[in-house]
Amino acid sequence: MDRVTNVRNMSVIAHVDHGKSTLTDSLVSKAGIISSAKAGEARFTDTRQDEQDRCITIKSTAISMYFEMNEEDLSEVKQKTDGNGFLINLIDSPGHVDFSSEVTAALRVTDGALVVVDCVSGVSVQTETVLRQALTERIKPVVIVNKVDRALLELQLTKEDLYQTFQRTVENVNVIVSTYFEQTLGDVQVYPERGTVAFGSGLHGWGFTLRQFANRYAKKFGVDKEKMMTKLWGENYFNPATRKWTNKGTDANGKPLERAFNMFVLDPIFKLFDAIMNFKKEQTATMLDKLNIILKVEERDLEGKALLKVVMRRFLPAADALLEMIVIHLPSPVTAQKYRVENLYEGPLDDECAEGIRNTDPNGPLMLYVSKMVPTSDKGRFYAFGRVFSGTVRSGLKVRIQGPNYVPGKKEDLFVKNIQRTILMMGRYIEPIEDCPAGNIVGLVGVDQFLLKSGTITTLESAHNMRVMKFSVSPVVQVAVEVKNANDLPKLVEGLKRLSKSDPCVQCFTSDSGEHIVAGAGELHLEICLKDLEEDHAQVPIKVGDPVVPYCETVQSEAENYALSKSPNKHNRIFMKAVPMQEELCKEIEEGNIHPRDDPKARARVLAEKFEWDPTDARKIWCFGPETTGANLLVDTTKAVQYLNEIKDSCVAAFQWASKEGALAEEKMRGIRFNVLDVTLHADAIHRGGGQIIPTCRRVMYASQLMANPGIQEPIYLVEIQCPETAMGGIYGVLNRRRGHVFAEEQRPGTPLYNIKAYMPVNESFGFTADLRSNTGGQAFPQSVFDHWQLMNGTPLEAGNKVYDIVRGIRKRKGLSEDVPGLDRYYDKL
Amino acid sequence: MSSPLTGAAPMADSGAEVIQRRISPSSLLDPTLSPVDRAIFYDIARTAEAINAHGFAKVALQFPDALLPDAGFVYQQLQVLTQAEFFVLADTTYGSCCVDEVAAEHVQAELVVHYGHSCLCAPSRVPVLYVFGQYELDILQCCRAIDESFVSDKQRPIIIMYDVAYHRHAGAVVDYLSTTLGYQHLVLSRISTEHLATTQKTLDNENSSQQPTDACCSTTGSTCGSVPAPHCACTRVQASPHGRWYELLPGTTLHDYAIFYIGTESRALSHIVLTHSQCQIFSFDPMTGKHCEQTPKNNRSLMKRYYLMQKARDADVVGIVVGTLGVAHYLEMLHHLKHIIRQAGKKHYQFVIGKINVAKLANFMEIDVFVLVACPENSLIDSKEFYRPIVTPFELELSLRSELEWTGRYVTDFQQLLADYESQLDAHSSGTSMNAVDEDAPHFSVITGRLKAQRKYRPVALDDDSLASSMRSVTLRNQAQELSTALGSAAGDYMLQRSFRGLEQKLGETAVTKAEQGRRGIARGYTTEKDI
Repeated sequence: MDRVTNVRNMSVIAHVDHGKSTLTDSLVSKAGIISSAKAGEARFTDTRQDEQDRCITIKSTAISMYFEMNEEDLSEVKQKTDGNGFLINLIDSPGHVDFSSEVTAALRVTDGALVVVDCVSGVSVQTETVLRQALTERIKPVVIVNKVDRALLELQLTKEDLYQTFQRTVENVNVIVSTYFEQTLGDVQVYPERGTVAFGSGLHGWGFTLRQFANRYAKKFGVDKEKMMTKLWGENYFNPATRKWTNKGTDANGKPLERAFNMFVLDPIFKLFDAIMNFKKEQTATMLDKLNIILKVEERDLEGKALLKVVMRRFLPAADALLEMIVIHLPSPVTAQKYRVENLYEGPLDDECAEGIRNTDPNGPLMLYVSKMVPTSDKGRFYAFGRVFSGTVRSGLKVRIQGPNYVPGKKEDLFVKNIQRTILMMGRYIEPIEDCPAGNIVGLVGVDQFLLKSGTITTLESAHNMRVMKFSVSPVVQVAVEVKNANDLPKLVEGLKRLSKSDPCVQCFTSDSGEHIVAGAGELHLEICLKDLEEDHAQVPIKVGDPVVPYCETVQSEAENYALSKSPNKHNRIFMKAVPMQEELCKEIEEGNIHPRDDPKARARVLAEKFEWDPTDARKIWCFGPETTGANLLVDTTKAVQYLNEIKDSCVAAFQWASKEGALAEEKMRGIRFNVLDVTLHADAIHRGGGQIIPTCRRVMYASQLMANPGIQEPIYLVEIQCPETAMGGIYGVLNRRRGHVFAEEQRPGTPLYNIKAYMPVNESFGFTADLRSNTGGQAFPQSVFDHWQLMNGTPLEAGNKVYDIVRGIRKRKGLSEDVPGLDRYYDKL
Repeated sequence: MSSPLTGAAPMADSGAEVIQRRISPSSLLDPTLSPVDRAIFYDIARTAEAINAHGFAKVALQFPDALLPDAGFVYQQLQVLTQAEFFVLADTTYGSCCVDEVAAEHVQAELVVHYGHSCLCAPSRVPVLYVFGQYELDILQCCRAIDESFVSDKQRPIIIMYDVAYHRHAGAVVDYLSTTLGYQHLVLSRISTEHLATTQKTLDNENSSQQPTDACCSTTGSTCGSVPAPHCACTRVQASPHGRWYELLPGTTLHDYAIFYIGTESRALSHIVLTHSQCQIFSFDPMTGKHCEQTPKNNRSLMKRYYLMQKARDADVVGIVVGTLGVAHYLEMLHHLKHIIRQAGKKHYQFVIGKINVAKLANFMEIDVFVLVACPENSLIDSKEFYRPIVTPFELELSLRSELEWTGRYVTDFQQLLADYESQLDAHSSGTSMNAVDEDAPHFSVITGRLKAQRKYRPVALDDDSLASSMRSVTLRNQAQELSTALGSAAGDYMLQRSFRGLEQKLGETAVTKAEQGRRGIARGYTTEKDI
């Protein structure tokens, strides 16, 4: 642990059901934590009962393992190392899209990622998503093509077909990798011939990289190992007759040659499979002899699949292949933090902390990022799980705990406390440790009550925060929960607190009608959260309401006239207009590319160039809202108004208020730009105070919203479905019924499977998965992830369209009068 | 009358709305009413009798806006019957349901006769006589409504409550129910129509045991004649606070009862619904003749209050708004609130601003939550339109003292709140070792779903003198010019967050220009505004 160069922090990421946990097992068994017989079935990292029951990973789980490498292989490691012992901190992450926030949290604390791809279904939606996330976090990937046994046993592919499948999978991965190419990370595409791709079967526990085969053959052919590796992939053929290598598929006589990969790598595997599965005992025995595989006494009687498993595991142990890939090709913290520092640290890149992170300096100032909270056996308490990027953390150390809203120099979101204990996370167990130097993943005891989900822990007073994680999923599905028994209410509140700690993505809050709302990324996510809430966190019976979806209020066109409101004393007037903002601009703001804390001049330039704003207006943005970061803008377009700067604070307060609760249904506003056209103010300061301005400014915003053809935006899921052709009809039917539309449909090359991409309103998504299953005979599995907001057709102010009904529905649920208040409530005449 | 929990409360109107308010014809008296009927409506005889019996010399007549047109008539009638000097009070500072003691004291009135709807709060200084006005009630229809509501379940214990305007008829309703329809477990709530012995001063020439018995008590005949003095009734008898009380039948608790309320939807009803959330409540509206169950709405308003309570928990700076100068124990309540706010490490400011409206409160942007000390019916303000939420003292207490848990009980009476606090303090001091939680630990805000760290405003150890002296001596200013931090002042902190502080000199930043023609015209439309 102290030899940081020999640490590898890595996460296992993939699409759901591609075999992450199963593969992880083989590594765990190699480390001697579980028996090899159980590997592949135990799913050691699925610690929760429901994970085991559902065969799906829900929470990411960390495990630290120690391995020793052969001296021979050690020479391959292209970075600084120290000894042959390696510590691998592995995080197994969930594959279901609803839990991808767990993946994000896992990626933050690791430097490398093992991307698992099912060779039968290929690169899927979630593979792409997690890979993209990994690359934006500057995580170096290696790939294992999993479930090769299925390709052999179920699909009975030929060698060349299998090669093509592998080739395509690798290519698909590389297409994604190159799309998100980043200069600093360099070329991180994966190449089988360089050993960054492995092939294998997690269930059977075997796997290989070309390096292993190259090792075998290099001696035989007397060629250099590296050269051999390149020969074993791609357009390389060996002519056994001439014993010459060529890059053409035919020999001099035009006779087709066998690809080197097929000949040297696949051939022995195919032969073994053939021999064992067809019960050719003699042949099996000779092959085993040839391959130096010695079976134990009790294993000799095995037949068929069972024998195959044992033999393959002995022949090509998956753990060896993985270990080799991880140690040789994934970066050590020392290597990785050099280029990751600029992505990790918010502060200036030349200060003490940045230096400490860059050099992974165990003697530097402590910089530790807590990425998630892991429940302890002690109810209500959590381990803060994170990574030491700089310095050394030890028990009893006095540290500064900085929450996500901490600003250097201020006291908000800051606590100075002692760390009670430091621990190592070992899947289901924990192990106390004395201290933990930079580059390692660690669990902390005693800081959980000061952080909600994540945060920075440091010892240096001037330290800035580590950058907060950006999640790829948004909590767009909400349900109201209430207790069955009124006396349990405090327990529910405590439960909600624990729930929101234990999950990086879930949100728990109270609506103004007093309902407790739990918001999650999707139905499955919510289901798990609510189950946890009821059984673990609150431990009281709860009632769950119908799921509801948040909407956004917006405007559809610029109003012809300005809106005007007068202050209660009639001496102040504000003239305003609401203008729709481009969707692209909203997205830029929501993604943080255009940020309220940007330099106003630089921001103005972007706005003027990209979004055709008037340059003078662009420089006079008063604020963003709601929550000072949302995609609505208050812009001062007045000319020469006296005392204007005095009322700015009042207007900003009113804007935050109004944009949080729009005029239509008190939903959040989105994509509205409010232009302050003119302001008339009383000459006496006392008559233009907040009391006069705040209510007036809020009213004029509502008036201008109502005058600018108001509309409603609804959240839309991007749904991706993989299915055979026969199921397509059913999918289209279900989607049509749910207002969804397909925008892409392509056949996955080499398979009978189709990939369908569609947009579907989140509001229509409840019960979608079950509906789809029943309509396609269980052949289609959808993955839905929030994609964008979409304007709904129709106006909420006139009866007879869906928007009108929706607005009335929301108002009724919130206990408001069902009619949208008329313009005259907000608009005053001059 | 609109329900105060869904619409803006009348008290929260801006002044203009009060002036422009149309009084609905139903609340005005029929102008064709004969003088005799009118005299009965205003209970002239009883008023005169009370004045004469106690020998009051100066009497203030307090009318709500709706009854003001009749002030002259009442004045004339009373003057004929008594020797006292009369003053007509109108336009009260807080709410017309409360007795305006301050105004009464201006004229040194010895008695206030309060007309119209009343919240029945015990006044703290001046004796009061309530005249609710006599409204018609169709007793038969009302009883039928009750029968329907309870599906003729005659064994069920029922408390009959009513709007003050119908208190004359309540006895008759109970009579009819028990004799004709055979209901067996009826409890009639009673209200005090007088507070003639509230202070020692007036008690001097009175024998306190000879309190005039309550009017409705004698008509029912279902309970014994001796009724405890109204102002102690709140504590001694199982009671709903504020002059409305009832005696439960032996061997029963409030949980067993259902409540039937006679009267239109009003704040009084909302208040009862809120404070009796454990009972099933039905109401009958004599104006429309309709009856309904109140429960679902009740739950909703309770949840809204719950939301406000959570907001109060997140607040760092609390504004105490004094909304009454008359309700008994309001001063103790003020002190108590300050005490618990300080104990919670928060900062408080105190406001006396007369009638509350949005504009007044929005002037204090540094306040996170307001707590309104007012009579029970006025303190439940639906603060949606307000920039900051307004809570009641009970809610504030629940949110500030984490050891308390909300059970759905709701208390608005000051005296009971204070008494509760005392008893809890006693219960608590026996087991104080439960404070194992870290003091600084942030709490989980249910409103936002985030952690909320408390800004602590611990009273500075310096007393006023040393503070003042330290202010006079040279104070070292730090870089952010946070002079105010020395005071630990919330307003100072807030000031630092503002973009405009009113103190910028901007020396040399403003270009020199020639004087220009400024704005001209009057406030309703300056000349420059015509061309927009």
